[in-house]
Amino acid sequence: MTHLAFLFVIAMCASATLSVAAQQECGPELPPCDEPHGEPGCLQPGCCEIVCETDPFCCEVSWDETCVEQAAKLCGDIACPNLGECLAVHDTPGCLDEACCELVRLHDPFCGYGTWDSICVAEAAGWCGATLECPIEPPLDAIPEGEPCLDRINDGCSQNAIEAVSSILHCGDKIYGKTTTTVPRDVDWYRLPSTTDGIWTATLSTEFPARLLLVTGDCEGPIRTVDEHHVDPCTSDDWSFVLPEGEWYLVVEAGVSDRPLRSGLPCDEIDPKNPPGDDDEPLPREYGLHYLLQVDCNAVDCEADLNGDGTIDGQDLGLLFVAWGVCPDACPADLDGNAVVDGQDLGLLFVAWGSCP
Amino acid sequence: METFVRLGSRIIRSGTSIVRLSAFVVSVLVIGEPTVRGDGPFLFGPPQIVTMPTPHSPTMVATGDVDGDGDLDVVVPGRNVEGFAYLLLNEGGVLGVPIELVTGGQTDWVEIVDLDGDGRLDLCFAVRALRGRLSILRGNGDGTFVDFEEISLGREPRSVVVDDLDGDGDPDIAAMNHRLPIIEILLNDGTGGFDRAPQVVVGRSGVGIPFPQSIRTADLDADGDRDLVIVATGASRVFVCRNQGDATFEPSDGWRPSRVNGQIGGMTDLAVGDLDLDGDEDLVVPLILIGEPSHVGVFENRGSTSSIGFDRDLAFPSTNLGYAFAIALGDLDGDDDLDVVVGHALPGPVMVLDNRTVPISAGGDGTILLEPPQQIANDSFFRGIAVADIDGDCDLDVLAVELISNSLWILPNLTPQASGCGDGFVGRVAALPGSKGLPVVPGINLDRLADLDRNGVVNGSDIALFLAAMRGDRTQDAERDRRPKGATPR
Repeated sequence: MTHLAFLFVIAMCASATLSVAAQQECGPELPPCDEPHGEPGCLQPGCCEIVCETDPFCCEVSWDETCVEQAAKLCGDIACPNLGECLAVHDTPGCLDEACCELVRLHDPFCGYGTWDSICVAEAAGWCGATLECPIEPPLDAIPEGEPCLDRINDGCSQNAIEAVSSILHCGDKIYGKTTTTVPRDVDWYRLPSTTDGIWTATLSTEFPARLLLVTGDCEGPIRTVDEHHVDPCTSDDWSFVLPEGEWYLVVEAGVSDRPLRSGLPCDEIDPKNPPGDDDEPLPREYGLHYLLQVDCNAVDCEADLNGDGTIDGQDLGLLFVAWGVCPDACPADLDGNAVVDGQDLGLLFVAWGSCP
Repeated sequence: METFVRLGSRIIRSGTSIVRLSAFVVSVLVIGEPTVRGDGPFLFGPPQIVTMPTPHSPTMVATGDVDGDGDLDVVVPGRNVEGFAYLLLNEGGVLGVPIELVTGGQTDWVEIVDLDGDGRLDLCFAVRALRGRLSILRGNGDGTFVDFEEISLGREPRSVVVDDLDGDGDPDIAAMNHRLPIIEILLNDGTGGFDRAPQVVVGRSGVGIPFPQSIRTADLDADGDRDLVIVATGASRVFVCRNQGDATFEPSDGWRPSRVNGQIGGMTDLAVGDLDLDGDEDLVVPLILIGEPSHVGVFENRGSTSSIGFDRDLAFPSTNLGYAFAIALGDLDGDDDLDVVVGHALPGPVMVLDNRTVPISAGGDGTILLEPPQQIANDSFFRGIAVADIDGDCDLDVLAVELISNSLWILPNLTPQASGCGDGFVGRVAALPGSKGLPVVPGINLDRLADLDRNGVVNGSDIALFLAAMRGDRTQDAERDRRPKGATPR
């Protein structure tokens, strides 16, 4: 019995060693699987393992023409990973970062079988920054967007809407929202108050590659996207813009570089009308679904409102006096930005005295 | 050989004359009273049908005198797996056999223009591939061309327009990508070399994918420069990018077409012309609708020079047989206004709508009025339409490419012309002699139609996308050059 157990342990160890050896034969140090070469194994791990299971020769001795034929037969497109940096143009399909390669190929199949051209590089730069979820914790005063991800209640001029369907946004609002690529794909329109002109700042924190669009006009036309701003996943970014009077919408959409994301953000709620079956695999999710959008208006026009109460008064004067002198790093009372709180800042505060615009 | 060609031409001309005479006799006998010249209805002779020698899936047709003999030759791009387009040289009104032009890919569009200022017409093809590019064939002036050269573009260019965008007198290029909402601007250096100018983005504000399909130029604000007009099939909008005079463009403004019974039509093509003779350029589009007859949608230019605006109240039925797909404008009856020709799909009649607008300058109210459509041909899927005087009789004939039968149709215009041009026949025909029977059931199973633009609604734009992609199944294969030239050898 002891002898048998010893043999079993030896066999397990040998098996594990072989397995590790086989894994080492597949990886980024090797040439691609669709090229014969003298070394065992090949670049694409998934394909390499499939072929070697069928034909161990390919991982033990040499990746020859037969292995290439097997790869063509068993692996389909084997572009990911492949030679070439994802952020550099090269004349082969795919790129070395497997996750990034798969993500770009999913949205732009040409990158998986054509060449990794400048468009693939731009897509990689926009989409591949962070593929892990980075959950956003909404602050207590955040307003939920209120759109279940299977409903479409603020999708602007999408579908056949005659008038833009949107939520109203006020200065200082923080919206905790969600966007999905479940069909019909979601986009969130927020109408900005038409009475407030001046400088606005939108701060977007997002779990997915997002863009903010500034849209004006009428669903039937003319409608115009005046400007846009991209925010990478798992980051937060400010965007300042000047709005003349009129009907303006701030739009949050998944995507980048003038290409909306077509998949990768499936709804995370169960559709009561169409619940998933027991055998249904959940759709792959590449990013989190949430964002936090905060808007501030007329920030520059009311810089002297140091306590943020909407009025420039004695309290702000007091705050300026206590900050008098050379500024440390962050110094709200340094109104003219010369790194010193002095008489010039006092003058700026006095000329702005009263209610903020 | 030359003797045979001449003999063939004579036989064809004799045949054509007999056909025209027959058509005249039939029209007078069947319909009776002649009509006033220039008022329509239209009279077209039996089509001359030229089948392409290889499976070609022709996508559009363009004309130009590429051999310098004074008549208009014909170029037919197509989704040809071997990467050919076809050239048909015109010899005194008779088109020759299709000649292969190697373009290096499947082509959806061609512009015939002198790009390098040498006085010879060149060809600029949009190569419909995910490795999108222009394929330029420079003309030798005798109907031959040097080997193609390429200019890289984005994903799947389907249309290109050549015009002087920066006002320096030479033709520049604006090329669109179907799968990217990006218009590439290429400025001519005066010798036919091109420099890239800032791109133009269209249709960013819709949740669906805009899928630009067709592009033209027009001076819509009458400021002397050429603005870009783009039909985005997925967005169901016409976008206009206003030129600031130097080939830089304002952000695009988008308009939906007029709704027909509340429905937004799908759009696949666009024509530009002054329909109401008020001095500014209007837009017309084919409208694909579900459960309604196809229509022609009109964007009537308001004529402002400070901004661009359209009245979009007007839409005219084009047929209840099939889906309106391709459109062209031309004065087919010589009465100095632009009539509308529409090609349809599944089934595919070619319909003509006579323009009966009475312009304000003539004492009318200037309201655009198109007469009910008149059928001049019928087959399965007329994917591209053009008008040009092919037979040199100074009236405009209709050219149409038929996707399914792989053919070019030339419909000779026999309509009495108010201008006195043309064949001078006066009469009416109820239907084209030899027309095929008309199937009346639309060719698409609507239950199986997908939301192709993913905007949450299955509507005309999805049918438009479906039709626009027809015969596109070969593209991927044709472009699956996994290892392009110069790549690592196997």
